[in-house]
Amino acid sequence: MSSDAIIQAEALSKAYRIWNTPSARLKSPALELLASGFPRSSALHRTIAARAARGYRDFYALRDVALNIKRGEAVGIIGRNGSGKSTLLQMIAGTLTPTTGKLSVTGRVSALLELGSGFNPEFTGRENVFINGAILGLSRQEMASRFDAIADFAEIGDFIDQPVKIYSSGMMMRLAFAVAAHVDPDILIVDEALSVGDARFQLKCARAIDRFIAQGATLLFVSHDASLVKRLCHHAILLEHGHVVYAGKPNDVVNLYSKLTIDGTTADALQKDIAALNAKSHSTIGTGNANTPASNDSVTDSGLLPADPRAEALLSDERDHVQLSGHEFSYGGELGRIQSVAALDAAGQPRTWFTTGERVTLRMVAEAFEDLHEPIFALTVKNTAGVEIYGTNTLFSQQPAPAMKTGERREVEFAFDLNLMAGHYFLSFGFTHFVGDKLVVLHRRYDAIKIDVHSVDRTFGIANLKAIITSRTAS
Amino acid sequence: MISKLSPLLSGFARKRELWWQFTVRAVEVRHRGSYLGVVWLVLNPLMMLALYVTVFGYIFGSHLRGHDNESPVDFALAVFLGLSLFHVLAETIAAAPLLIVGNPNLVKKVVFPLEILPLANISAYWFHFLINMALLWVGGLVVGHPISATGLLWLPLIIAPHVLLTLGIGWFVSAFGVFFRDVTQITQIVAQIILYASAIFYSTSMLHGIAWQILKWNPLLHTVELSRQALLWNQPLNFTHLGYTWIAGCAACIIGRVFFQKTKHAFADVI
Repeated sequence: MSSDAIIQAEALSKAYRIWNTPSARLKSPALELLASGFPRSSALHRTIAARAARGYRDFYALRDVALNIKRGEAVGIIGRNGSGKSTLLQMIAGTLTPTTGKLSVTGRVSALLELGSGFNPEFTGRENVFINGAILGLSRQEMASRFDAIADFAEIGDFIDQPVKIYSSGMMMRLAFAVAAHVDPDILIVDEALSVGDARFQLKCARAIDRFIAQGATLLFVSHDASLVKRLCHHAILLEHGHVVYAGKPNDVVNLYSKLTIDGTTADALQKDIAALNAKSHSTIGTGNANTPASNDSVTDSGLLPADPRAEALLSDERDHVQLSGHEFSYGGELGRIQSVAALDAAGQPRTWFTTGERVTLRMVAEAFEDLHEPIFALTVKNTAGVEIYGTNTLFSQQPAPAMKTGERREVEFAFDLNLMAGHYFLSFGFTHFVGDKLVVLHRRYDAIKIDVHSVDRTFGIANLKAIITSRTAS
Repeated sequence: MISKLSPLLSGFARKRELWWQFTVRAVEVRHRGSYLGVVWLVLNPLMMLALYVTVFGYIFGSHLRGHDNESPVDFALAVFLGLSLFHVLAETIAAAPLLIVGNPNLVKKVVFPLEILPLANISAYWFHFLINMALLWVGGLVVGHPISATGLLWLPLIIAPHVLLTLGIGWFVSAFGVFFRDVTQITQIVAQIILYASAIFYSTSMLHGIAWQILKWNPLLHTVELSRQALLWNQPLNFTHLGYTWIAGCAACIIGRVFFQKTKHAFADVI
C-alpha cells in the first residue's frame, strides 16, 4: 500500500459571489464581457471592470487552505457552523469548483455530504440504491449483487420499496450509509450523517468505517461528536472562518474546538494553546505516519494516555490548559499524578465501546511524587445526564492499596461486568490519600474516558439487572 | 486498492447506466400511482387523437391540401403527427428551466453528470413520440390509408435533426435557467409561438410572401412537413429542406452542449 497523497490542496480558496441586487447578476457579467473586449491595460477596460465589480462582493468561505492527506488516513474536520467544512468537503467531492488554488483528488469519492444526499425523494429506496450506485460508477449488475447486503445493512425492511420522501431521517441516513459502505470508495466523506440513528447503528457505521480504513481507504469525517472524531480519526483539522486554525492529533483538535465553542473565544485567543501544542507535538497533517492504526495516535484515541517521560515539564503546561482536555476536567497532579487511564476489554485491548454485560477492566496508572501511606484510588461512572451510576474506591470497597514510595508507579485495575444499558458513559478517576484525618486530593480526572455501551436486546433502563424470567402455569 | 476488485465503469458506460435509469424514471413518473398505470401511455395520445379528429375533422372541416379526397380523419392524422413532433419540443422547453434547479441534490451533493438530466427527460418525450407513431400507424390502417412503408424508412432521417434540436435546446435552456430564473416565465408563450410557426394546423404550401420568408427558417416547420410528405402523403421529399433541418439540428445540439459544459461547473455556486 503506497502512502502517497490522495488529496492535495494548495492555497485553496472558495469565494461565493454575493450579488448586491438581482439585476447586478445580469449586469456585472455583461459588463465583464464588455470589458474583455478592450485591451487589458486600457483605461476603458479598467473603468468597465471596476463598474462590474461594484455589483457584487466576494465572500470567502474558505481561504488559503493547504491539505496533504495520504491514502489510508482517517482525518476529522472540526469547526463551527459556517467555518467552511462543507465547502471544503464539497470541493473534495467535486461538486464545487475552487475559486483559486490547486486541488487534486485521486480515486473514487463516495460522499455522504448530507442526509440522503443524491437521493431523489420521489424514487423508491431500491431505485435510489441503483441510481446512487450508478452515480458512484457501478453497473446495475454490480449493484444487484450488492443489493441484499445493502438492504440488510440499512435495516429498513419493507420501506425499501417505498418512495424515499416518506422515510424518516434515520432511515434515509441508514440507507445512504449502507450504499456508501458497499461501493468500495477510495475516499469516503462522511458529513454529520452519523449523528442520526441509534447507538447500535452508529456502532455499525463506525465498524464499517474501521473496515474501510483497514482496507486502505481514506476517510474524511466531519462531526460535532468529538468522541467519534477521536475514535475514528488519525488526524484532525480545526477550521474557523475558512482558515485551518490547527491540524494535528484529534484529541488536541477536539480540545481546541471545545475551547472555541464552550468558552466562545476567538481563533486568535487559541494561538497560545496552539503554540503549546506545537511545542509538545510534532505530528501534524502531512508529517504524520499513515496506516498506523495501532500507533500511539489510536491508543490515545481509545483512552490510554501513554505516560510521558517529560511528565514534570508537562505538568505546568497542563495546569495552564485545564480546559484543553475537552470533556475531561482534571485538577491536582502536583504530589501525585494519574499518568494514564484506559478501558480494556476481556482480552486486555483498549476499547471505548462495549456490549452490556461484557467484562471490562478500567486501568489507571498513578505515580506518587512523595511517600503516600494510605493512597486511595477511586472510580466514578456517570451517564451523559451527569447522574452518578456507580462510584467506588479502594477505601469504601475495603480493598485498601498498599503504601507508595516517592517515584513509585502503581497500576490499579477495576474489573467488573458492565451491567449498564445502552448509552454513553463517562469514567472519572481519582487519586487521593489521607494525611491524618484530612483527605488530600492528589489528582482527579473527571470524565477522562467516554465509553459507549450497546445493548444486545430490547431491555431498557440504566442498569441491566439481568432478570431471569420463568413462567409456569399457576396451580 | 479496493477499487481494483470491482472494475470501475468507464465514463460512457456509467453515463449510459444513469441515462437509462433516469429515462425509465421519467417515463414512469407520468403514470405512477395512477389506477390505470401504463395504460395512460397509450390512452393519453389516443384521446388527443380522438379530439383532433372531432374538432378539426368534423367541426371545422379543415383541409391541409387542396384536393377533395382528403378525409377529415386524414387531416386529423396529419395534425396529430405535427403535434407529436411539436410536443417533444414544447415539453422540453417547459421542463428544461427547472431540470437542474429542481435537483439541487444532484448538483451540490454528488458528482453527477448533469447533462444526463436533460438527456433522460428528452429521451422520455421521444419515447412518448414513438407510442404516438404506433398509434398513427394503427390509425392509418383503421381509416384505410396505411402510412407509407418507404416513408417509414425515411422517418429516422427526418426525425434525427429534430432529436438533435430538442437536445440542444434542452441543454441550453436547462443551463440558462440556472442563472436566469426568469426563463420559466416565457416558456409558455415561446411554446405557443412555435406551435403556430411550425405548420401544425396548416401546410407549408399555404405560406406565401413575407410569412414564408420568415417561417422557412424554422427547422421544426420543415420536419413536420417532411414527415407528413413521407408518411401520409407519399410525396417526394425536399432534400434542401431536409439538409437545412440537419444543419440546424447539429448546430443547436453543439451549441447547447458546449454552453452546458461551459457553465455546469458554476451551477453549484448559484443553486
